Amino acid sequence: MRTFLLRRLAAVPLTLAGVSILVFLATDVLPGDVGRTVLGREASAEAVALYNRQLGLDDPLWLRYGRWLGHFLTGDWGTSYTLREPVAALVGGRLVASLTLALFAFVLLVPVALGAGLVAGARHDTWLDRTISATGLALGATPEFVTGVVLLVVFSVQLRWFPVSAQAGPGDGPLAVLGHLFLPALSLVLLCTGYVARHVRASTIAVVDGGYVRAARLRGTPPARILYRHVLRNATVPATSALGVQLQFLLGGLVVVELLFNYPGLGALLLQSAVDRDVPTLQAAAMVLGLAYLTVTLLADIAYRLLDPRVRLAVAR
Amino acid sequence: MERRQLLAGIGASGLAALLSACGVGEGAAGGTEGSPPGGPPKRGGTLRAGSPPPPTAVDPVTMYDGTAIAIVQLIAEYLIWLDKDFKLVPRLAESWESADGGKRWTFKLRPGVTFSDGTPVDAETVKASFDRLLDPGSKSAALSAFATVLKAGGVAAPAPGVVEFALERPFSDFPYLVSAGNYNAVILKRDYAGDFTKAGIGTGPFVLKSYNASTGATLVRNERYWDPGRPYLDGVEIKFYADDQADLLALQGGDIDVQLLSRPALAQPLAATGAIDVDTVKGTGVTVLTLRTDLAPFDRKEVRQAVAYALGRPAILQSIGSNVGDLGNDHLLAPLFPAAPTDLPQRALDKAKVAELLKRAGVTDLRFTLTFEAPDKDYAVTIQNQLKQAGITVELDQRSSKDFYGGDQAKDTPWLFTQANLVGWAGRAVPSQLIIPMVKSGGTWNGSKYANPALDAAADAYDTATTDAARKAAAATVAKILHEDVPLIIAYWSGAVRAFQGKKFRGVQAHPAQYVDFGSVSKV
Amino acid sequence: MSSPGPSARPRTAARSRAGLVPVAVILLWAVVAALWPHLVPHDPALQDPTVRFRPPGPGHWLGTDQFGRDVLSRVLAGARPVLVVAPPATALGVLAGTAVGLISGTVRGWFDDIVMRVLDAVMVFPTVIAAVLFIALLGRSPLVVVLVVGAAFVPIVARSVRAATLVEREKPYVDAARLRGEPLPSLMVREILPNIRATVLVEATTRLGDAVFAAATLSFLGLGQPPGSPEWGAAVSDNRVWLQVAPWTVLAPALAIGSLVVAVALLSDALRHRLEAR
Repeated sequence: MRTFLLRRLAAVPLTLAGVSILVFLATDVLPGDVGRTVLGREASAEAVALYNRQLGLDDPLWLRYGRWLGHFLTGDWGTSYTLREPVAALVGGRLVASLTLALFAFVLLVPVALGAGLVAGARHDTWLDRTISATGLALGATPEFVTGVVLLVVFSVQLRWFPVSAQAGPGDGPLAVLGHLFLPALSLVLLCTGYVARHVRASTIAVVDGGYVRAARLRGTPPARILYRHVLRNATVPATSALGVQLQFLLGGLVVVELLFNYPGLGALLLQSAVDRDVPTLQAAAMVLGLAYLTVTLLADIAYRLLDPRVRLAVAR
Repeated sequence: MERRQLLAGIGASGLAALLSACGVGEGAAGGTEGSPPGGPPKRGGTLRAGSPPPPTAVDPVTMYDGTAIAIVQLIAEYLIWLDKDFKLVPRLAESWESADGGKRWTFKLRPGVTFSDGTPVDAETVKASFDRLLDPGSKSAALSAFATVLKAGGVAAPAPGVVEFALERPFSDFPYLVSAGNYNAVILKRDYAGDFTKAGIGTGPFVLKSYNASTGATLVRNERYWDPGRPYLDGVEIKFYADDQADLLALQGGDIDVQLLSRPALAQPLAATGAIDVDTVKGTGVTVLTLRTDLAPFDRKEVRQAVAYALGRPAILQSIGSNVGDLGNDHLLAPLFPAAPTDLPQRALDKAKVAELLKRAGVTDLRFTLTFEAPDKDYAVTIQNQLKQAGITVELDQRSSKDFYGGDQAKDTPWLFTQANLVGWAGRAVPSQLIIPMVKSGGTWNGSKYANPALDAAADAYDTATTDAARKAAAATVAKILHEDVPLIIAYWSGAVRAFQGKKFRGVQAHPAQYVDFGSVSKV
Repeated sequence: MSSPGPSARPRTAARSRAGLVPVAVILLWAVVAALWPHLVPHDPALQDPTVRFRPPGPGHWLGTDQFGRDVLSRVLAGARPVLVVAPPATALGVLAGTAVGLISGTVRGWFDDIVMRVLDAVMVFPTVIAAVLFIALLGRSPLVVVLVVGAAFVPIVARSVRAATLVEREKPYVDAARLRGEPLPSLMVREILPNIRATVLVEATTRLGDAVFAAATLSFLGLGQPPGSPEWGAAVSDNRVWLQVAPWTVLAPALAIGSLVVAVALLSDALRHRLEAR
């Protein structure tokens, strides 16, 4: 286990270094001009040149990268080229926002997906199973901007049950904040439920039809106890890895939902800073997102190894 | 015909009935200054406004985007405000007069005005604000507006309440350059250091309490405001929406009460369903189709005219301009400008003429590439479709705004150097602000590369004219030359709208330049 | 079928009949994509300001949009840009991913380590930035969508192909071939590849569904199709603002995307079951 962990941990900085180089090369190729973006089309050429010189944009690529890397490693993430705000605070605020939304969606996802998967598995090959499986598959295949738009129209504009924007006001309490986050989280949950439920269903079937549940049933153990002791526990293993994959997806696929529900998260910042060639912000956002992604992957792997006795045995050996 | 004009002729008694018949809330008519219908304004309440996030830091000296301008206009003030009819309204200046045939201008300041932190406003403060904008080493966005008119060192403060401007040349419309029409020209404290979102202090009706570049801004009433009783609101809360639809949905869903920047094409059809209210106003904003007059095929006047005759202008005004605004006639004298000519025949769709002009130019199978930025996509698609029906093929080349305005303005930026492009211009208070940069020989933003000594002379004559008759005559010449030569195709002049919830607030007004004045907005 | 799971038998029987519905839907859209110029009641690009926002009814069976264009015609014409993008993007991702995974898994050693790190970096590299970059370089076209979506699939495919290769290369027949002195390229292509065919096919069918999804999402973000395109994702994005005024302009293309992606997902699910059962 320790060597596994060490190897995986060592790979993280290498991967991030690769990403940062890719981002830097990409921003160098993108068209546009930071000084022009900040000062507008009606500013004079001299003012634009002055702005770019003050940012050090006239220096060669490798020098700019070296400078950025040096500062970044010492904790100085710089100032946004366009917004002139400290990048650390900007990205930090967006990260907290994105994580809040992703976690809320995750909290909704776990019971829904586990429940759907267990029911479908326990009643497999009935109309109930087929309905659950097909619905999950269909929702999972439908882009979140389609479901999101429908949710918005029905629940925000027509029924007015939930606010249109995911962004809460300054004086809102925790309950109001969750109300703002409910529809965007729901559209993510609808997207992911099918995938996770399918894994839970498959392992539930394996357990339910397997020898020891049959034996337990013959022994006269109450069904609820069978469900808890055998089915739920054994179904958790594949569900964990499926959930891990989905959490990655929740983090990475936030752009659409953030745009649709006007949520100031990391995905929207990433898109904006790429378009603006705001290199310090883009780099920091890509690094933070990459780190979150790698961490989640690692945690899912660890959880999988800890929960599955076979893997645990293999690791111990 | 637009709703506002329609209402003008009807007595107040019939007004409510008509409005409810139109499906419009009573707030739509709440724009009249001084005595709004429905009794005296109530005090209190916070207005929640939605707007796109500013693309850059909010700084009055460099700002150019609508949200930044609106935020600054709530906090700081100009010597002169520009109202929705482009009339000059005294604010920090009480009165002004010119001497030397329009070369020297004297402004008398309003006495007793203080900044929100208590610092009094004097002539030295005003001088410092203009010196900051005129500093050639600065990144000031107003430098280009002052270009040939006012240079650094031209501002003096002979007495605490008097400011004097000595111009480079006579300029009869100079007050517009120190008004809101030159939107960077707000009066700020002498020690202002570029940190407006942290220490933004002005004399305006509201004070900035907090600002977050990602989410929005909170403003509260300026208790030291010089106009007693105003503003009526306790505060304004601004929320940023990165997306047009999110902004509109928020207004429909009640998350916000007003949009700072509304797009007529989006807000009008929604207002027709009764979901929101809008105030509309004609304007001088325009999206021009620029044609490179120095490159084939548009180096031939006939080819440019052919394109102009191939457009169905009323259809464009309807589907792109939402019928808020006026038809364009391919010259820069908008109908709203007092000097606009009235005797020039309106150009209209004429397929026979298109064929004849193209034949005369010896062009068969005309095709060209139209370059534009994302916001003008609908217009570009419509132009492509209309020209196709006249046998002209248009390739669409959509760029991001950074790309479109990026590059070197002296040699390669797409918006000034592509064969044909669409460029949007915010409403200007005086026609010279459009004519000089866009079509005079060597103008800063002359994307047509148009050069015509006759036009240059007429434009100069307009600027130096001292009588209304001389000014009208010069304007007529400018219009006639542009209409004939077609360096730019102007299919319509955009009107402006501002969408709001009339059930909750009144006094919300549209402004042709999207400017914001919430000093007279109050709860219903 | 060697080991049909306890659940597999009744389900496959049910699936083979139900499996016809997705096939029919996909075929229908394929026919529409090929023949739409003969099927549309109106020119999908033709604007007619006299009939803006007409609700569905005679003459315009799915209504009209903000320019008075016929929504039905646009939905039919929109099938082509959707269908021409997904298969080549899938092919690109699966071919390149298989090559990378196969080589990396067979060769192993430091080469494998480097390739895996690069793949990690590509996987972590945000797709949105890649899309912005490709558009800046190549303009807005279906080709850009193919490249961006295909590139995003490479690391995913490469990982599972590599995993399958690692299992295969330990088997006796590979050792035998190696002892016979079979060169590396032929070892990979002749010996290992045929035995990991199922993995590659499962990847291909799964990625096809993902490709439709990803392409529509890129169009929705304004990062794919040229302006004025009737492509469904772009149509949903363009008409989203009219939800209140003219919901049919959004629902028609949204349901079209829905029908296609769900059909592809059901089909690839059925295929996967069959492949995994084998």
